[in-house]
Amino acid sequence: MPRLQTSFAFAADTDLTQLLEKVSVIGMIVEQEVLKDKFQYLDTFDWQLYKKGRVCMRRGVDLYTLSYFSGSAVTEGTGPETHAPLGREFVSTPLADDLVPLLGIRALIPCADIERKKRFFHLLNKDEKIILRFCLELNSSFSEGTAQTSGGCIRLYGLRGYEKNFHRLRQLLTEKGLQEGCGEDLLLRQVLAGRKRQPLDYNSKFNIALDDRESISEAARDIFLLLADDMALNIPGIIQDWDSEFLHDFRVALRRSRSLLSSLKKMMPMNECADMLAGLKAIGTASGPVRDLDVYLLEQEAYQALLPESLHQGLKEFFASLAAARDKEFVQLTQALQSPEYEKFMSQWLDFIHNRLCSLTGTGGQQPCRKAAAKLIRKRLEKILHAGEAISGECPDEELHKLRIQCKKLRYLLEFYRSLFPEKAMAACIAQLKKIQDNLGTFNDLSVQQEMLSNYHEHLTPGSKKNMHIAASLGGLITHLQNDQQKVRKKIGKTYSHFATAENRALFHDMLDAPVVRVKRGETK
Amino acid sequence: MNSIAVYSSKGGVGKTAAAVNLSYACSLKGKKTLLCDMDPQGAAGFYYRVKPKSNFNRKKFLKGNLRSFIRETDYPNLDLLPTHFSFRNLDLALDREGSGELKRIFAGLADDYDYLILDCPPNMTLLSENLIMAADTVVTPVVPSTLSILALAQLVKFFDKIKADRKKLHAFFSMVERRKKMHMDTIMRFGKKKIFLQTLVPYLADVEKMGITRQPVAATRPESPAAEAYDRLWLEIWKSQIRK
Repeated sequence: MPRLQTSFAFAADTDLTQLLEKVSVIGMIVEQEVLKDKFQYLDTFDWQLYKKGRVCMRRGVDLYTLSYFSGSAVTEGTGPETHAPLGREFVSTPLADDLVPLLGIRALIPCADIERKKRFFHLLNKDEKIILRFCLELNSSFSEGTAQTSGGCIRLYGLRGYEKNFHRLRQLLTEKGLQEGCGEDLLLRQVLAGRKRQPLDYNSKFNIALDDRESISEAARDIFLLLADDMALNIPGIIQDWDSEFLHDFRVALRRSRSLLSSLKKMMPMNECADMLAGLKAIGTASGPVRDLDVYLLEQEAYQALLPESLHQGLKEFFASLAAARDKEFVQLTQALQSPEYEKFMSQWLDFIHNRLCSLTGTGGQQPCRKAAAKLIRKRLEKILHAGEAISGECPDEELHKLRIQCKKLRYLLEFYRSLFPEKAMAACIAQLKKIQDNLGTFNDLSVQQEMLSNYHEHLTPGSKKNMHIAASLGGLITHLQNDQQKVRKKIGKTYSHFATAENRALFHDMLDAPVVRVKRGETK
Repeated sequence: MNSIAVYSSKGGVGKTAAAVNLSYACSLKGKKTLLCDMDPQGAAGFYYRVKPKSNFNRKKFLKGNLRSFIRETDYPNLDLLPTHFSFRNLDLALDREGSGELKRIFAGLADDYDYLILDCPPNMTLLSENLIMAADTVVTPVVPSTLSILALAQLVKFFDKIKADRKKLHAFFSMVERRKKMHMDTIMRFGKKKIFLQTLVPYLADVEKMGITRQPVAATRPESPAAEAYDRLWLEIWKSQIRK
C-alpha cells in the first residue's frame, strides 16, 4: 500500500504555537525527538541540477546526497572534499553515474549552508494510540556571512487504517492557507529568498525580452546592460577558478558586446565608439591566453583517446607544460580583472551604456528597434551569401574563416533580437544557421589546434628524452587532426549550399516580415 | 507470506501475550507483519490500542476485503486486523464454506506481508479447524502441568482427525515458574519431545503489566527477560520454518 504522506510549506513568520494549537483539535500532540541536520546546498553556477529537478546536499565535508525535488534520494555517498568540486572528481565515487552527466564541465558550487531542525510529533487518540505522525522542519540558512530563518515545512505521515485523521489535518492546513507540496526546490527558494543568488538566475544562453516600441539604441542599451551584468556575475568564478565556463561565458558576453557595438558604429561618431571597442578588445586580449589553454586542457581525454598508449607519456608531459603555462597566465588574468584599470574601464563602459549611447547614436539610433534589427539581419544575411559565393571544395581556408565570422555575427544578431520576431520562425532560422556554424566551427577549431601543436612542436628543443616523447605524441595528434579536418572540410560545401537555398532564405525573410507579436517584459514567449 | 497461528484450546495460557510479542519480535526483524486478532474478546487489539473500524464486522471479513480494515500499530512493519464482536459466530458462517475458507481469505494479503500471525480463540471448533488449515505453522503454548499436556495430546489427535500436517505443530512451555516443582518436572519429562520448542517463556510481571502499558514487552523493556524470551521463541519458530 502506498504511504499517505504530504507536506506543507510555511513562511518564516508563521506562528508555530498557533499552528500546533490548531492541530491539537484532532488529537493529543506529543513531541518526540528533535534532530538537527546541517548541510550545504550545491549546484552549478547555471543551476544544471535545479533545471533537471534535482538538488545536491553535502553533509560534513564529503557526504553527498543527490535528491529529486520530492526529497527522495537519487543517490548518495562520499565524494570530494573540495570546496567546489568538478564532475571529474566524482568519477569512481557512488555518485558518478547520476551526478557527472548533470554537471558536465561545471563545478558544484555551495549556494547556502543550512541548519534544519526537525521536530517529530505523534498525534494520539483517547486510547493514546498514534493516529498520525508529523514533523516540523525549520530551516536557518547561512549565506554571505549572515544567518536568517527561512521558514520550513510540516510533513504529515498518515497511518494505515487512520486515514481520516490524515485528511482532516490536511484540510485544516489547507484552510489555514498553507501551500501543499513542499519539495526541496521550494525549500531552496525559501532559503535563498532575499539573498544575492536565486535558482535559475543565470543561464549561459542569451535571453532578453525586448519591447518592440523601443528604439534600436534603447534596445541596444538593454542588451549591453545584460551582457555587462553577465560579465560581472562571472568574475568571482573566474577568480576562484571554480571551472572553465566562467571565463568562457565572460568572454562570450564580451564578444557579444563588441559585436553589437560594431553593428551600431555607423550611427556614432567614430572616436567615441572606437575607444569603447578598443577597451573591450583589450579585455578580450587579456583573457584570451587562459581561455585558449583551457580549451586544450579540456581536450586532454579526447586527445589521449586518439593516440596509442605508447604515446600517452609524451601527451601527459605536453599537458603538464600547458597546465603550468595556464597557471602563469591565470595569475596575470586575475590581476588584470582586479586592477584599477579594469574597474575604470568598466565604469566608463557602464556610463557609456547608460548615459551616452542613446544620444550618440543620433537619428539612426531613434529607429524602431524591430525595423532596424530586421535591416541589420538582412544585411548580415546578404554578407553571408556574398562570402558563401567563394566557398568551394578547394577554396583557401581564409574564405571559410570569413564565412564563419559572418555567420557568428548573424547568430549574435538573431539572439539579441530574438524576442522581436515570431518564436518558431526564429528557432527554425537559428537551427539552419547552427548547422553551418557547427561545421565551420569544428573546421576552425581543428585548424587552430593544429597550428598551436605545430608551433609547440617547432619550438621543442631537441635532445631531452622528455621532449622526444612530446614530439612523438604531438606528431601523432597533428596527423589525426589533419585527417579529421579534411573530413569536416568535405562536408562544408554541402552544408553551405543547403543553407543558401531559396527556401532557407525565404525562412529568414518571412520571419523578418512577420507581423509584430508583443511580449510583456520579464516573460518569455 | 508465511502464516503462524498461535493456538490453544485452553484459555489463560499466555496465547495472546505470545501472539502480541511474537508479532512485535517479527516486525523488529524487518519483516512486514500482520497480526490478525481472531479472538472476539479482542485482547490483541487491546494491547496494541487498536479498535476495529465502526463499519467492520464478520460479513465484511468473510467477503475477504481485509485491506480496508487493517490498521497500522504504533510500530514500524506491524499492522493489525482487529477482531469484531460478531466474530464469535464465525463458525456458523464457515460451516457453509468449508475448512479452506480462511486460507482463501488470507491469501489475498500474500503480497502485502511477509508474516501473518493469527491470534486464535480458545476453543476447538470449526473456526479452529479453519485456522489450523490456513496456517503454515501452528504454535501452541503449554503451561507445564498435567492437564495442559493432556490438552496437547488432544490437539495432536485433532490434527490427525482434520488431516492437518502434524509437522507444522510446535509447542512451547508458557508461564513457566521455576520455583514450582511440578513445572520443572513436567518440563524435564516432556521438554525433549520433538514437538516442543526449547524456549521457556517464564511467568513474569512484565508480561502481566502489558495490560497496563498496552505495549509489547520489548517496546517498554527491551532488555527484560520476558522480551528476550519472546525474541528467542520467535527465532526458534523462524528457524523451524526455514529448515522445512
